Amino acid sequence: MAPILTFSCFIIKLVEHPVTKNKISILIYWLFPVTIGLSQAIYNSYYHILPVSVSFVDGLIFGGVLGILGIAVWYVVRYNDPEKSAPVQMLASHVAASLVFTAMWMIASGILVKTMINHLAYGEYLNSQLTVRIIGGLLCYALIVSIYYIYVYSQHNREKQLKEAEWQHQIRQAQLDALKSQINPHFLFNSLNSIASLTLTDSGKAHHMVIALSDFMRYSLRNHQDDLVTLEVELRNIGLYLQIEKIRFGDRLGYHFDIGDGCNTHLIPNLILQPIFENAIKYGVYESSTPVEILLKARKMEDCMEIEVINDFDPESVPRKGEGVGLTNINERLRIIYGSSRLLTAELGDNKFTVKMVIPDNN
Amino acid sequence: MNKIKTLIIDDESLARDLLRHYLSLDERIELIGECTNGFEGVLAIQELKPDLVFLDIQMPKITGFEMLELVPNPPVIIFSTAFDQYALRAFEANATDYLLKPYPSERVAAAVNKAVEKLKSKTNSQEISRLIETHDEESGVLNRVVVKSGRKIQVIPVESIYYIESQDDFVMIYCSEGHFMKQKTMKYFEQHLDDQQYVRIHRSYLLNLAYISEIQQYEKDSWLVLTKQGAKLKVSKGGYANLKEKLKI
Repeated sequence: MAPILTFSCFIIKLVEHPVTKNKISILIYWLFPVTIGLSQAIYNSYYHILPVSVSFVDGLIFGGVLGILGIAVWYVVRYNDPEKSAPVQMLASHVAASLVFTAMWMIASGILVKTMINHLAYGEYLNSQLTVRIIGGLLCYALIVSIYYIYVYSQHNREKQLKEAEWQHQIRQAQLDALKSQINPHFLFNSLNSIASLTLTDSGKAHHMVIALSDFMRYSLRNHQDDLVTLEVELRNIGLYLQIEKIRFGDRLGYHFDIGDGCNTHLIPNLILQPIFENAIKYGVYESSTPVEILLKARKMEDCMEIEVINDFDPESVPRKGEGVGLTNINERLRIIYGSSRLLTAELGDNKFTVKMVIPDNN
Repeated sequence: MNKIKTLIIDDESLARDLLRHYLSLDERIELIGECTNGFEGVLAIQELKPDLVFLDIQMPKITGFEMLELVPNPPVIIFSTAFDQYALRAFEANATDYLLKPYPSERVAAAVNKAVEKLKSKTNSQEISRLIETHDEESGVLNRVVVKSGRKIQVIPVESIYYIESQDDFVMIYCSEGHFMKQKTMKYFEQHLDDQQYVRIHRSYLLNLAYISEIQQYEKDSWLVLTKQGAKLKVSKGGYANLKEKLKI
C-alpha cells in the first residue's frame, strides 16, 4: 500500500497538485480520510458491531481508497475552472463525477475488503451500510471539491495581487525613467562645475547661471509627456539651455532663431526640441575646433508648422558611439501624440546637419 | 624637496580655471602645462614629461581613456568626470581614486596625497593598463580606433579598417588612412568588433568582409584571401570555416 501511495504522489507531483505541493500539505490532506476511516473503525469496535481487527481493516481500506480518489478529484476541479467554465457545465461535471467517485470508491473498497476480511457477519454488515456509505461518499465528494475550490480561489487572488504589484512597479519605473531622461546628468554636473569656477572669477555670471540653470531644471521636470506649449514658451527654455551652454563653450557656440509669422503661438509638445539641441551641441559644437552655429527656422504652413534645426559640424570627426535614442524618442512621442511616424526627418549634408519636424495644427 | 610636475588636461576652460586655483594652494605642485584635448595631451606628456596628470575622461575628439592607450609609460593620473557610468564602474573595480565634478579643494588635496604614494611605487603602469582593460570590457562594440604614428594621432572609423595583423603583444591595423601599430591584442579586437563584419581568418589575421575581392585555394587545407587593395592573406582551415559561415557559402 505504502509504496503505491508514495509512487502515485511522485507522479502527481509532476503535475501541479495542491495536495502534493509539500510534505505538510500531504500530511494535512491525509488526516481527512484517515480520520473518517479511523472514527468509523473506532465506532464499530466500541459498539461491538464488528470485531476490532475487522473494524480497523474496514475503516482503513475505505478511508485509504477515499483518500486516493480524493486526490484524483482535483483534476475534475481543474477542468472546471470557475473563471473559464459556465456554471451549468460545472454543475453537470460535478454531478457526474460525484457519481463516478462514489461508485469507484464502493467498488474498489468492496473488492479489497472482500479479499482481506473473512468474517462471516461482515458481508451482511456491509450490505446494511450500503445506502449510508453511498450518501457518505457523495458528501465526501462535495466536501473535497469545496476545499479544492477554496484553494483555487485563493490562488487566483494571489495571482491577481502579484500582477497588480508588478503593474504598479512597472508604472513607477516608467515614470522614473521618463524623469531621468529629462535630466541630462552631463549637462547638470558640468554646469554646476562651471558655476563653482565662476564664483571665484566672475560672481555676477555665476549668479546669473544659477538662476538660469534652476529655471531650466524646473521646466524640464514637468513630466506630462503630452503637455502642449506654445513655441514661444518652448524657445524660452531652449534659450536658457543655450545660454548656459554658451558660458561653457564661449565663442565656439553661436545660435539664432528665425521665427516666421504666426509660429510663436503655435502649440508643440513640451521639451520636444530639447534632444535636438543637445545633439547639436554634443556632435556639432563639442567635437569641433571651430565655431559652430545652430539655426532654428520656423514657418507656418497651411495645416501645420515646419521647424528646421540646422547646425554645422566637423565632417572629419568620428564621434563616439552615443546612446542615440534622442531622435528615436522624439519620433515615438510625435507618433503617439499626432498619429504619424513621418513627422521627423534628419539629413546629413557636407558639413551641415538638418533636423526637420512637422507639427500639425492642434485641432 | 622637488615639486611634483603637474599637467592639466580638460576641454573646459572654467574647469581648468577652478583646478588651477586649487593647485595654486598646494605647495607640492608645480603646474607645467594645460591641454584642451587628448591630442595635445599625448604630445605634452611626451615632451614635458610630467610626474602627475589631472585628466578629464569626457573630452571631444578622443576620450581620456583613448588618449592613455597612446601613452606607453604613463605618469600618475588623477581622473575626473562630471558623469560617466562606465568609467565609474572601471574606477571602482580597480579601486582607482577619481574626482567627481564639481569637487571641493579637500578632495583634490586627498587625491594628491594618494598620488604622492603612487609616485613612489613602481606599479603605476600596470594599474593603468588594468584600468583600461576593465573599461574596455564595459565599452561594448567599437566604432572607432585611435592610433598614433610619430607625432600624428588619428581617429580611424572601424569601417575603413581593411584587416588587422597580429604581432605578439600588439597589432598592425591596415586601413584607408594607412597602417598603424596599436598596443592591443588580436583578442581585444575580436571581442570588440562586430563579429558579423570582422572575421578571424587565421591566427594572424582579422579581416573586414567588406574588402574581400576573392578567395583562392592553394593547398589541401589552406586558402588565400585577395583583398580589394591587392593584399594576400593566408586563411587557415578554421578560418575558412569561419568565412564560409559568415559569408553563407
